[in-house]
Amino acid sequence: MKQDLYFEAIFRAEFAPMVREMYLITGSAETARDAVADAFLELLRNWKRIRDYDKPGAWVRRVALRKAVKETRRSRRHVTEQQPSVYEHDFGETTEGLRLALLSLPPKQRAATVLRYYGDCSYEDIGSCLGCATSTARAHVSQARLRLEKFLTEQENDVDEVY
Amino acid sequence: MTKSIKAQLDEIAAATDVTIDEDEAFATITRRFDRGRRARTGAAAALATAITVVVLIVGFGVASRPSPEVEVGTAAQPAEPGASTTAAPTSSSNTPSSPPTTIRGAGSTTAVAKIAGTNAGIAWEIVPSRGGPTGTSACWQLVTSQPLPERCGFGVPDARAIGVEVEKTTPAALVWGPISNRVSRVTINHPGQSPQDARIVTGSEGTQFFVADSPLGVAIDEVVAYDNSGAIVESLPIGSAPCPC
Repeated sequence: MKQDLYFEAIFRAEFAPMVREMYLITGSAETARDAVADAFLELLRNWKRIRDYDKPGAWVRRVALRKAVKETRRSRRHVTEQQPSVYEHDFGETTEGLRLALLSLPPKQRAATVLRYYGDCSYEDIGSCLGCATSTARAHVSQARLRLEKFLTEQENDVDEVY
Repeated sequence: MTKSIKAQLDEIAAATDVTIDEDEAFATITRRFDRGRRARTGAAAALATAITVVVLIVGFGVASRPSPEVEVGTAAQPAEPGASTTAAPTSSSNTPSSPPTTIRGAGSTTAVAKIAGTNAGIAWEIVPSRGGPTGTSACWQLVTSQPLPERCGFGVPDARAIGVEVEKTTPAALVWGPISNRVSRVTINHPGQSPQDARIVTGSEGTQFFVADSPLGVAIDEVVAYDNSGAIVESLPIGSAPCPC
């Protein structure tokens, strides 16, 4: 029972923030919820082993992130074929620009960007979550920044031309 | 740039808040876990049952298997008065009261025409086409609950000692025994007669045997094995040939 309470405490503390994070990565609230829920289910299945970790939440985040990246890769192929609307929310013009820019990034660069700028993660943590070296994580973030800037600049120029 | 991105990401991420229902998610996760655990428990129980059944079947199989196995050679015997010419029955059995012992022998089907159990608890059968020392002769298999001497060369007298009646139907009995691979010639020595050459054959398991038809009614002095140079390798008294194993 004590284990269950500890599990629930972790769940209550981590579930919503993780879903938000995965939403930024996947672009789909449903996919984000599923990825995080699956990760918590994995935690429950491995609870005896993982409950003694310093940060069981970090383990869940890593699992959820990998599921999210995998799903994003799969859905990117799907989107290319069917072009459905990925986001369901109306944002302001600037935020909408960033949303589209984020959507244009490859899944790992997108994940690295979200972890860095939204999750305030260190490059070491990003590498750990993505299963790559710290230097690779740094490269992902750097390349993502360049692509975002380029995308946003182009978009700005397009807007200027219209007016 | 960084601050701007952070703020905008917060705004985008917050858009999903309306879709998050923690209570429902928690209930769903625990329900899925319980369902999986029940499925795993059921599968484990089914597996345990299957293993138990297999263990029981194997256990019964082992318990009913004859053991230990002793190689047997049939020694030449004096002619039996009133020897039967009846064809050998293919099998005969009764229920042993203790774990049976199996002894195996070999000989031509006619040479081992009849090995009849006269004691309760003795069963026997002729197992054809099992190779035997010649590769062509039939093997016979005696299953008995009687204690048997743990040695090779178990012969007709030994069979009689435990109550098995052996009757020969041909004028010669098969004499055989295992020999080492160094042996290239084997002779059967009968008193007052010239040594008789035995055939050397390789059994189905790669063991080398000597085989000879010995006239019934004539005792065998010894079996002598020679190597290529003609030197005597072994002298094998009938009934105590070295075990190939």
